[in-house]
Amino acid sequence: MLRLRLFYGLLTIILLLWSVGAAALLLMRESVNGFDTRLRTDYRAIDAAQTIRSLTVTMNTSYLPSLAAAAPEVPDNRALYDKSHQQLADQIAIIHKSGGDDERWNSVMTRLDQVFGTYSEGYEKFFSGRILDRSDRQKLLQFQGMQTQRLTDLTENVMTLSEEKLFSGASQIVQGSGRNTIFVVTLVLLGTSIAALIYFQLVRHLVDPVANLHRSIEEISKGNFELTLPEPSPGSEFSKVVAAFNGMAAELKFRRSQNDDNLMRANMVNRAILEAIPSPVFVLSDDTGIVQINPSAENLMEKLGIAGRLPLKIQHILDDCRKTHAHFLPEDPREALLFRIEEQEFYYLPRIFRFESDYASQSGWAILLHNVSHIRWLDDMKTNLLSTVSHEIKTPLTGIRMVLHLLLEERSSQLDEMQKIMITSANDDCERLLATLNNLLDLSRAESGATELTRVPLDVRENVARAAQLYSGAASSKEIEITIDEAHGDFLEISADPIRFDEVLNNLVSNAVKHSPEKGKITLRLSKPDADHVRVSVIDQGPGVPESSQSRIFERFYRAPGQDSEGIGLGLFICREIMRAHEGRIGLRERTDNQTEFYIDVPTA
Amino acid sequence: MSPPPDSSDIPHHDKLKVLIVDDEPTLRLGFAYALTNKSTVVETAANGRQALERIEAVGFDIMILDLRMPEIDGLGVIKTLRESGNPIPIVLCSAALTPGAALCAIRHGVVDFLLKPVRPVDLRQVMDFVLRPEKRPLPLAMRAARNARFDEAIRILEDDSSPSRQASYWLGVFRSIRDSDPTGEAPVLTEEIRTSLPILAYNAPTV
Repeated sequence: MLRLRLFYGLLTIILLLWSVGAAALLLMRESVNGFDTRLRTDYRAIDAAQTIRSLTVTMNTSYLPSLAAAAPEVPDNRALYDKSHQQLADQIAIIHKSGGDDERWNSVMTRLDQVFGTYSEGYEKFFSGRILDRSDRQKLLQFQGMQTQRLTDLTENVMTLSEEKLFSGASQIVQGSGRNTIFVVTLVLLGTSIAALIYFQLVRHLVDPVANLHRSIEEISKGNFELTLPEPSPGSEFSKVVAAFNGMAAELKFRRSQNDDNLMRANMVNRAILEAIPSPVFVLSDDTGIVQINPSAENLMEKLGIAGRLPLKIQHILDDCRKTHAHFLPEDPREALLFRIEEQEFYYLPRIFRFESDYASQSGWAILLHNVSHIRWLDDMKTNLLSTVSHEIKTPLTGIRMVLHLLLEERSSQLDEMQKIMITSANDDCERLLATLNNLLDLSRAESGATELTRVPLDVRENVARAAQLYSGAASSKEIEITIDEAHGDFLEISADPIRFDEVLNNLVSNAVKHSPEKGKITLRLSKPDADHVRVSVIDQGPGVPESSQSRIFERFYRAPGQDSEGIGLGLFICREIMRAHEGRIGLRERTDNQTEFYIDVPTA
Repeated sequence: MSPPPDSSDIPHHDKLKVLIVDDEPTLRLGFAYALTNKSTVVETAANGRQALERIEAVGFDIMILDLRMPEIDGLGVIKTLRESGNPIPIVLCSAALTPGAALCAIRHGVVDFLLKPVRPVDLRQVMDFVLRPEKRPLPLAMRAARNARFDEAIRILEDDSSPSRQASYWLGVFRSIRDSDPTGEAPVLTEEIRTSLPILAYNAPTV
């Protein structure tokens, strides 16, 4: 449709162009031809007049002087005259032919014909030979002179008139070209107006839709999917574009409403989840600005008297997390932070995790404060209960043990064999029960006292030497040799609680002695695993820890299967708790060369 | 239980008089039985009030005192006795030792601790340790401390060329008591000593 319009419009312009060109060419040719004809006729008349003048002059100079002579003589040479006369008549005819039809021209022509007649008569007289008289001849000479003069004047008139005609012809041509100009201008104006029409049509049908489309695309890019383009006239090339565009807008609108629905639902679900979580939850942007918090968090912030920011303790942990780009997901309720709210103590275990979309376009932090006050309270209760119960059992047990010991001393009376066996057995049970109670007390001490370390700078070599010394007796009874290997570097002072550190060391050495074969070797080796720690390794040649148990030996109450030694499986657990409180490590190395190596890493002072 | 053996060979007034104070009847019985012999006579009291009454009525050479008791506890007994100027040697016998209690006792010249459970042999040995100290630095220093002569005790321990672990801990304890304000309730102990109190006991666990 648009293509057709464009074609027709341009065709019109091209036709106009062609016709203007053709008209201009034709007009120019016509005027040039007219001018040429006029010029030629007029010029012929002028030429003829000139010829007349020269012929008369020739004739006069040939014949008239004889009239002035004294003796009359008859001219014999009439041939020249005849010829010239004929020529004159021809020239006059030419002038006649090229004449116009105005009065002036006609009167001049009449007079010319008359004068030519009289002039010819004069010459006929001359040739008749009858004029012999001198005065007659004089008269004739005068007459002929007069006629010649008139003839000359008339030719002059003819020339003047011809020139006038020539000029009037030129001015006629100028007039004609003026008309031509008007014609061409009219055509050009017509062409221009058609071009203007085409322009406006084009604007209306081509530019306007494109501009509309552009505006609409801009609107859509701004998110306004509501608008649709008006349907163009049928058959327009734009109808497809508009249809496609409207389709796209509708699709976008549909998709957006779907997205909005999904978002709304996701949002509601999120909100419901957040509200359902009893723990305070903070969602933070990457620069730790608060994005979202749940009612519980609002409540907490209100009670803490802080608005719009995190509690300082948590902010510090978060800052550390941001530095290391790591999550902070503690499991142990003992790592909980204490908050005082309305004179009450609350323990919150902060769990900080970083979330990141693919390609890290979206990221941030989520903080969940797990209220472990209750767990802490239960834990404390358990520890206190454990401690109280153990003490309460221990006190009467001390009396029983005392009595059993006294009986076995047999100071007042001898026991018979059976009595002795029974009391010995009872005493053994009593001792075992006491050992268990002591372990339970140790456990409660380890759990409650892990945060109450008293760390001082220690020379680790002294502690190691003391442990070796302490067990030298037990070792020598099995002919075990304990050596200290401190050849692996200079050892700075460690930062540790002297009692608890010795406890760990003693426990490991005692285990080594327990599990060493007779005549075995135990090595206490000092080394530096990294810049901040000193490692004490306790290496024995015992059978080692079964592989299936290796991951569990540090759990509380865990005892490796088939272990016949005494103990309730708390020693290594307590060691681990103590080392953990020291920010150190405890571990079992892979078994090499038939050697079992337990190690502890203690921070340097 | 049959009566203690060899209880009547030596005249009563020449015998060593021991007071056992404990709220646990079996322990009183056991302690009494363990200590009674031909040179020793043992009396028992079930709480602090009874103990003070008996001490006022009869003089004793040594007292084995429980810390946790109804009515007047061990520390109450110690304070009352020392305030009345009674220098009787006391062995404090308890299941657990807290820093506060230990310090209070030591400042009142009670430096002998027994950690329950106690074996009869521990009981007899501690009696000897208190009443017949050996001529070694630690027993001598303890004897000085029993009379609240802490400077002397410190000097003795400082002169010890090869102090045992227990001796060095005692030295730290005596020093912090000397350096603390005598009127203050609780001298500041170094954390090392605070955490190592069980070592101060006579029957301190060695392993």
